[in-house]
Amino acid sequence: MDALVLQVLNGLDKGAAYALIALGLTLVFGTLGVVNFAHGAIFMLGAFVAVSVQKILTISEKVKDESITFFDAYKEVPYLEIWWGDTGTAIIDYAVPISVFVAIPVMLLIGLAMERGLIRHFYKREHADQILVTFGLAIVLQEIIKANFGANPIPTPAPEIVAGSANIGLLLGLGDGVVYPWWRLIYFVFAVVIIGGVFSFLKYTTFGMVVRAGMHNREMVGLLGINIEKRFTIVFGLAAVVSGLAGVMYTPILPPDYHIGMDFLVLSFVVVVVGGMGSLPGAVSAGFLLGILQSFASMNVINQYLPGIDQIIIYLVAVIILLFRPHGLMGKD
Amino acid sequence: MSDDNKYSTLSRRGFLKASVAAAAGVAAPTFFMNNAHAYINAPKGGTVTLGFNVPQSGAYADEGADELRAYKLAIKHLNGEGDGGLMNTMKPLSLKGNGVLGKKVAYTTGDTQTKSDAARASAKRMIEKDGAIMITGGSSSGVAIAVQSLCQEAGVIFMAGLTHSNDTTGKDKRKYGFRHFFNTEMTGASLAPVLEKEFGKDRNAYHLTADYTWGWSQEGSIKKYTEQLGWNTTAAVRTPLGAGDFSQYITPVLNSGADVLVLNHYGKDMVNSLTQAVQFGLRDKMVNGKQFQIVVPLFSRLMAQGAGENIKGIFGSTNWNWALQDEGSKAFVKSFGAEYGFPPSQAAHTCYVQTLLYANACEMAGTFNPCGVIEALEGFKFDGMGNGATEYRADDHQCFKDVLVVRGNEKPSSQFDLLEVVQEVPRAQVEYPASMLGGELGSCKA
Repeated sequence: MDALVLQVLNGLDKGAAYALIALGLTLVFGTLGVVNFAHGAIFMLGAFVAVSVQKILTISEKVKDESITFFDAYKEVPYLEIWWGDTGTAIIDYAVPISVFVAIPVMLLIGLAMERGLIRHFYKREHADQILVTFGLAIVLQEIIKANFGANPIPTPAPEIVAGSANIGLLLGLGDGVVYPWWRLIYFVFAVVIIGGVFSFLKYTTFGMVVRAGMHNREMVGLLGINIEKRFTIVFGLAAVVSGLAGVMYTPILPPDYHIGMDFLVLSFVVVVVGGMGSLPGAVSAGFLLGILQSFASMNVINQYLPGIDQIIIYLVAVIILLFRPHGLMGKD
Repeated sequence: MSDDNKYSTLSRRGFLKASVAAAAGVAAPTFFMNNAHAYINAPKGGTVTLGFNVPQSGAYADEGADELRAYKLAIKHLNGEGDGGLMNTMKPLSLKGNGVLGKKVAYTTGDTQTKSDAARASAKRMIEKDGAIMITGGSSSGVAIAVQSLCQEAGVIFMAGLTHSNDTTGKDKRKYGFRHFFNTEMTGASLAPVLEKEFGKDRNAYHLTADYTWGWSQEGSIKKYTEQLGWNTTAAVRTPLGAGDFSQYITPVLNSGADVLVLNHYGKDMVNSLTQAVQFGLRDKMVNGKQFQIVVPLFSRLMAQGAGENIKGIFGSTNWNWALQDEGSKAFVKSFGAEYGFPPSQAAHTCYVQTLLYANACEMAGTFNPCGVIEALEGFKFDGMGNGATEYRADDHQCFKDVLVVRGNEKPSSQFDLLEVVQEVPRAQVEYPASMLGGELGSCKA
């Protein structure tokens, strides 16, 4: 029982990342009809907002390391620690949560600039053209990050207070066999809040209502005198914020490098296709479903009979679903 | 006269022309062989070029960066610049500090990306375009084996960098390939007795293994030696190289009944898997009435640095450690530290040593001809390079020397003092017959 609970938790935390990226991807496809292969790069840019904030907070003075005697070695002491002591250390420790607040305006601006500067010129072009240009953009962004931050993953830890694990088993009355890292639980809750927020925004606000109407019938909304293009631009910005925040919060789980976006992009497209292109609930459900399936496929009892299934399960399920439901789980004809 | 008749008639003049052409054709191969190109990329002019093929991106990029630093330092020392480093302590030494065989040493670099195909392409470019006479590097056994095989085909010597799989000097060994670094067989033989002493004979081990040649080799060796002690292997699970998030593989460990987790991972993979294992509370668990333990069979200071606090108290093995107090280690650390401001890693050490050993062998042989250099390296016994008395065994081109068993330092005295040497295991304890790991060296192309 403990093992099953652990795999479900693990699936939920993996699925949360897939769902967040797929949500942004689906928003863009559903509103603008654009297949955005640069969406993974937006996730990566979000992660590097956290890296940048951490770098800024840890700008350091080089101090000679007296414990090394046979050559001149130096330690880097952050100015924040020199100026403010423990308070400075605490601020550095909270680099990732601070980055969440920094990432919202930064990612919104990046999203708006991307849409106005490039994507809008491709609205009426073939999907193949859109894929080519957004994939090209993704590579350019990747290389810019590589040139500035190097090719190595950069550790960006969670605050010390949530660095350990929570004893979920005791909370659920299962004994102390079920422990799970705090930050992964926080990531899951964060994802649920963001997903809930996006759905509420689209469902309960006038802006959201217009966007949904535009997703169903763009021409009709335009004929009603509403500037749907402007709203769709804001939706693109919103999608960038969602994906960017997913990236920021993922950094303590996996130290980011320039390639992290590409690693997630393929999986996210599978999630979107399985959920049904353009279906927001489909993208979210498929994200969690595939995360849980991937987690269960890694269990020894399954791997014993189907070695390597954990590597292909997502793609296998995608093939099966598309065979029987060509428009995905919640897609419409 | 028809065309057929025209060509069927052979005149005296035509016969003479044909004879001369045929004679030239028969003589030509011998002419080329006897003169310029008895071996590929024979140095012309005053320089000789070495090819440094290291991972500058991917899971082993940290090791690659340190390897490149070491290579550049070795080039300086070979050319008579800097403080000379290990050239001051190496015995016997034929190098004179004026390059190699009087030629200034130059280098070219490539990025293996920790991928075999990229590494082969990069090595090929260095051989064919940059004129590299020797290729060295690699921080992955998959890469090392692939490049070693390419070098054998090209007739170029490959001085392996950080490669730990048995296969490099076992079933995939090559005449043109040489490895200074130790291997998984030696890790198993040196580490298992220490694990028995620390954790006892009654243990259940769970392996997480990088799914490529090194991981399989490491898992095999640790299983072999721990099972001989009486340990039980609960499960051995393969994980993709560069997986990043290992959580889906760690959660099944929690309730598997295992009380030891063996992480057959290296580089970033090891940093990530160890950090995540600790985050999942494994080190705080009591299983089967015993404290849960994590073992990292192949350790390095760079990895320890990446894993931070999580490394404390964890056992593993290493080829070399900067804190060793022999003259060779001290000289190398001083030289490397003065150049870069921090001590070298084991990857840097082995790459630096390999460069000097190659250069020294050229001086001993009096030629850059690979066959002569191979002959000089085979069976070469040396000392003063940081590992005590060492021998390049002629049968498999594997170096034999003492192995270090280390533990993550609980009380580091400096920012670099991350690994504590628990035991220097003597060469005799880790030596094995060359035939045990199979393979054929092949021959030299001269």
